[in-house]
Amino acid sequence: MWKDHAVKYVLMGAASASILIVALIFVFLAKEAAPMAAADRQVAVVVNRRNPVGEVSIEQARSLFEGRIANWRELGGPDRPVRLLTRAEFTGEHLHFKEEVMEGRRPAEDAERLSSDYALVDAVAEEEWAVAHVPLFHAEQAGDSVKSVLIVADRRGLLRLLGTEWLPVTGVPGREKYGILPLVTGSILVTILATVIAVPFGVTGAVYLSEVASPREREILKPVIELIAGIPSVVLGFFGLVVLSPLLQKVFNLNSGLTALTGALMLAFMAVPTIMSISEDAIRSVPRSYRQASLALGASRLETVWKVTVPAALSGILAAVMLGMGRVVGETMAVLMVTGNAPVLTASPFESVLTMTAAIAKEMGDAVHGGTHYSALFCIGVVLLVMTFGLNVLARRILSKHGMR
Amino acid sequence: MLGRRELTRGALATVAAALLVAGAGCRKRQRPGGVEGPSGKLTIVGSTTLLEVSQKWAEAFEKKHPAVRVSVAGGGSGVGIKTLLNESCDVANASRKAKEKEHRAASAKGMRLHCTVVAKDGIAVIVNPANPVTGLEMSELKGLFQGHTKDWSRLSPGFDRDVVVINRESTSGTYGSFQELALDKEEFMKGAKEVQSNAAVVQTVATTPGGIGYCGLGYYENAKDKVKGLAIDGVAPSVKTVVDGSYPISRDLNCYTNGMPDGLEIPYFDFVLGREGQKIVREMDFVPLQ
Repeated sequence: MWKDHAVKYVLMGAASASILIVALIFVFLAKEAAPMAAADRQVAVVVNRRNPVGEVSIEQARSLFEGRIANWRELGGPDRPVRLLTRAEFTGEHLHFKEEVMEGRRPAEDAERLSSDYALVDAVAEEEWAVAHVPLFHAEQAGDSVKSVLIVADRRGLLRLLGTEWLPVTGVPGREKYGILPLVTGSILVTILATVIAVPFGVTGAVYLSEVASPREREILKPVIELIAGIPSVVLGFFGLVVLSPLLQKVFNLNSGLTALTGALMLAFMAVPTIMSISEDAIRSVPRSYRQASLALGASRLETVWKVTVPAALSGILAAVMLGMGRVVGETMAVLMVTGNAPVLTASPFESVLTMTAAIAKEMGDAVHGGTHYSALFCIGVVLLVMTFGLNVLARRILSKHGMR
Repeated sequence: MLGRRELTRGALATVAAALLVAGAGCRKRQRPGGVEGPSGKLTIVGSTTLLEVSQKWAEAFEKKHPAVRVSVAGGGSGVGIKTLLNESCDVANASRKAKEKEHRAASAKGMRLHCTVVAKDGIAVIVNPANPVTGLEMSELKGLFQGHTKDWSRLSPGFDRDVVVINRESTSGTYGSFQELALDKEEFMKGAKEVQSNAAVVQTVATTPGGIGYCGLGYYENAKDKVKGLAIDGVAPSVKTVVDGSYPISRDLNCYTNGMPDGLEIPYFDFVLGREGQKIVREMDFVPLQ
């Protein structure tokens, strides 16, 4: 029948479109995150194009700018005095130059200080024996009028992500830090706390619903739980900010209610319906013969539930927990509003944390498109995606090990 | 096994699905101007500080010119300027001046950020009402926000609580202005709590005994029952002290456009900078332009 074919093509189209979109997301993330691996903060030491000196080493550059090399002859050039030019104020890439080449020291006192990179490039282009340090962007823009004899850059690339300080926006450019470890630990801390809180409620709730509750109770409870699952996360976040946060502050006598624990409680609230309904399905799918056999052998109903039924449904329950965790890891709005958003590396539930999701959400608006901050945020996205996929793969392996699905 | 015919049809189905998704993303922009007075749509995005007053301006302007629709959205000064540079809005509200890199991004796109100052504002420093302190020197303020002073007992004898710094997100113009004016462009302390709007700062400081934060003057004036404002270098925050320049933490509130205002923007700015617009500024506890 043509109708069967039509349905088949629609399904095929939808399935391939979905796979295509997932693949595109991956490619898009990787493409925007890739510039993080490139060299950053590149500064070129430039000389006039008529200066025969071809290349200098970092040590020679250091000596040059500290004033210890005063004549080009010492670098293999002609007998001419060195004319040092530098910035009046070191910002942006120059800060890195100062650290790496100058070892934090200021240039020689008699170096002429100019106020802009354009002025430096122009001066070097005009004066035959001048030397200056300018951002690579400016050196390249100047074309043939100046020559780069040394390029200094921050080549740590992706290793910068392994730092413990996340400070992507600074008052004065050049001091940014892109360490994502506090964000990863923030996400992990909140996820683990939320899971630890949600699992007891979710599993016992599922057991109650499937084994103990009367049909009337089930009729009322199930819709209520579905309702909780349907509450928008921003509404829960608002509730957390206005009600839960001051409450926790009083109860635990804290400085502030904006903590990892507050976020975890909100997330647990969101995860419980997921864990409960899937666990309930798992428990209900345990063959009745198990229950009947156990009861026949003299076990009480409670004993049967905890010693026979639940263990039999364990792989399904585990899968439910993993799915709940997967949902929690990706949650953004509620944690953005209640966890305090402080990128601090901590294991304490009573301190503020910044999760990976909240970091992306709150900073994507500020990041200059294509800049380092932008790429760093996409790197966080990649890590998040990998973690979520990892959780799902783990869940499936556990399931298949126990023969289910 | 999929035959060739089936594969082709499957591919067509996928392409159709993709086109549908792409088509949904297209938008139409209306053009301003008209025969009988201004008409069309004006899109304004940006600063949360300017959000409420901007909405009041929009309402009043729409009432005056019924053929015009003005939509106002928040997101932060940084988001506003970015949206303007993406050509997705007409006006960007900003409670700070555009940064160097934003100007560079504009010229890279062949655009130019034109600033119109629409009002002035003070940034009030607020603490919880339980805190006995009434004023701070700038240096003490800096020490608190940079985490050097961790305890209130030195500044507020008898008040033995930890300092809890409530900060805004870095896209906020209020954040940017405060960082420039109070911290000399240095960094805030690492463990500062971050909330997303002026209102959230007020709310959080009001419920945190050791809390200290900063917010736009208007938000402070409307919340005097919930939080306490501090005098900085002996000057209390108020419309009067911002106008006469004695309050040290004050700033311009700006609207950015691509180049000089044109089209609908001209009557809009005429309204905002005129008597009616500035009256609304005063009503919202901002400082009108003289």
